[in-house]
Amino acid sequence: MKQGLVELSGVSKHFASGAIAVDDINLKIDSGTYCCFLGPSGCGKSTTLRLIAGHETLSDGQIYIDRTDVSRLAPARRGTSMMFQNYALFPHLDCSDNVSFSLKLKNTPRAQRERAAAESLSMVHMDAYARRMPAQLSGGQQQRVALARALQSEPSVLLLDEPLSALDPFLRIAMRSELRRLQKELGISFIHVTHSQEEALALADQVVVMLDGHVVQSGSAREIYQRPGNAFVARFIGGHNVLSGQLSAQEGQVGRVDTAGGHQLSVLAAENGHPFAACELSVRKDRVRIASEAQGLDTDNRIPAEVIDSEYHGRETQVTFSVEAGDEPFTVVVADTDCPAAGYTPGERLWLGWQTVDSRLLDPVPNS
Amino acid sequence: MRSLADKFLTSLQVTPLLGVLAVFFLLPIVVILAVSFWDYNEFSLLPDFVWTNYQELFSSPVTYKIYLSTFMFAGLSWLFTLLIGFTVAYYLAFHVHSKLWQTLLFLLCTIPFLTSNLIRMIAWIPVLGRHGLVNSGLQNIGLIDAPLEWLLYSDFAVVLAFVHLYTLFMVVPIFNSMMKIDRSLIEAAVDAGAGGWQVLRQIIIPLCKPGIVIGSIFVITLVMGDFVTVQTMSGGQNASVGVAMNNKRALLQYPAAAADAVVLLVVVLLIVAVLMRVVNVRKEL
Repeated sequence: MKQGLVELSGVSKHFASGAIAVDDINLKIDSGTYCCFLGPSGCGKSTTLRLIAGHETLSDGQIYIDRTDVSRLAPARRGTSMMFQNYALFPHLDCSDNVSFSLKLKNTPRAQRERAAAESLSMVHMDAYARRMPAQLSGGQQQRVALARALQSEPSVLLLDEPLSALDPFLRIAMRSELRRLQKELGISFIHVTHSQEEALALADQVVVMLDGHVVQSGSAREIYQRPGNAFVARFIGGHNVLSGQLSAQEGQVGRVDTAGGHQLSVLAAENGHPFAACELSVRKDRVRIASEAQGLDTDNRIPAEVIDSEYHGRETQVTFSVEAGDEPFTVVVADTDCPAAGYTPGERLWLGWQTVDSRLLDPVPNS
Repeated sequence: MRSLADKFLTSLQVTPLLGVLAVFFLLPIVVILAVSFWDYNEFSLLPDFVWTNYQELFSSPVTYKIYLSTFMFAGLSWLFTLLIGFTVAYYLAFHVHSKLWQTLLFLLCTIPFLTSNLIRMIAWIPVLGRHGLVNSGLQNIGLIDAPLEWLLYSDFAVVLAFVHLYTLFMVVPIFNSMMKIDRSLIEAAVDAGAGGWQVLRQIIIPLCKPGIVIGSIFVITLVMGDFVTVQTMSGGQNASVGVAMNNKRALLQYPAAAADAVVLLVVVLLIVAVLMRVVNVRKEL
């Protein structure tokens, strides 16, 4: 049975200092969903998580879990369980006692506690370490114990605050798939706070991108990556260049944008969604083709560009250009097989081209 | 393998500290130990090696009575300084959130230490005396007819003075331990369903153990060795090991006083050893 339907309605958090950490968030996370809150530090993602957990009090709004209003309930009564960023294992208790701490609070007999702890620990392959103290474990092992402890209370929603940020890259990827496996096995919802778009894309059924206490976009990983709503999401999620210009015409789903350098670009645009005004558009970094002459490109859009730098990444080469239509460097990812042996020399003048479908008109970023 | 020159340099670096410890710490103890085996008469000390000082000490029922009252003072002072000290430290560590206020309130706690021990004790006399503040206040509101005699020059007064003098020694190490507790541990406990008392019992107290033990060592050793407070506040009506030792010193019975000192040292060291077994204090420093 799937559970862990989380609904946030008008959720806000103002701190006593007057700072607004979370501003009027409305969000629905379906039961059995792996959801990632993604955003730069200070965007309110951790605060939102702590509001759901009950470790911060709501300034306004309601939180429902499995259709019950939990806004005023104590953390332990919400059906949530939290895994802390620094693991927060009790240093004076061994792994078994750490995991079964909630049972100890309920005065469960020792033998029963041990059994439950052993079961939870085996779920994260830590059953051999039941008698170890947290200080005797590596970071990755501590994390597994923290995970077992959080799952001990059989929550319907597991809240993870930057769970992978303290691990080394190799362990991070291993743990990532383990989290995913556990979530599928248990059929509950996981809400995972991260500032790594790679992590969010790899893990999440639903990615919630946050900025300045707002949700700027929410959707499946594929949706977010392929159709970033605004320039902030496009930049943050990676894989996109952002250009600016003036929207001058629109026919159906295709808009025409005039750039500062006098080039006309065609982009995908929502029908009648945009006024004819200054606008931004995204271009997929991996869909841009490079040629020495404009005639060499049979794409819908073509602009001249000058090479700034090129970086060899093995599987691909990342080339940055300066273009007239954007203030920031324009990056093109060239697959290793398509990259000329000589590479690209800084200062070289080339042409870039891409199809209309690989470029989208962006909404303005809210409140900025 | 370290070279000889290296070893020499290392030992040279610790020499000043060793020198200070040897002259001001080891040497006096050795002298006291030696003198405790000397003989004496009314007029002079007689260098010797006799066990009589210890024999007299252990065969006298007074010794046991005095130790009993010393233990009582130490026990009660420990209990009250612990209760008050823990509460104050808890308030400072968990309820005062601004660093500035924490520092200010902490300084407030040290105010009693701006005056000498003796003045702090004497200051109690106008408060607790026969016609002192407490008695006249209670009489004025009609709670009592006659002044309470046990307020001053009593065991109560001795313990009160000790608690007043030494609570800060409990506050500081416990506060220190509390500040080291990761706040997310408390949240994790609350997340698991712990109420306020359970957080205190299951998380805060166990993690404060090092602070509690260090504070306890301070208070107990200070009270066990004290003679001024006991003499002043009990008005000579009760005694402690320190008082007895001081009396012998006044009678020029140095070897007997030295034997007293050696026995007290051993007793206090035993207490400290037991406390250190409870918690590995060294790990926490």
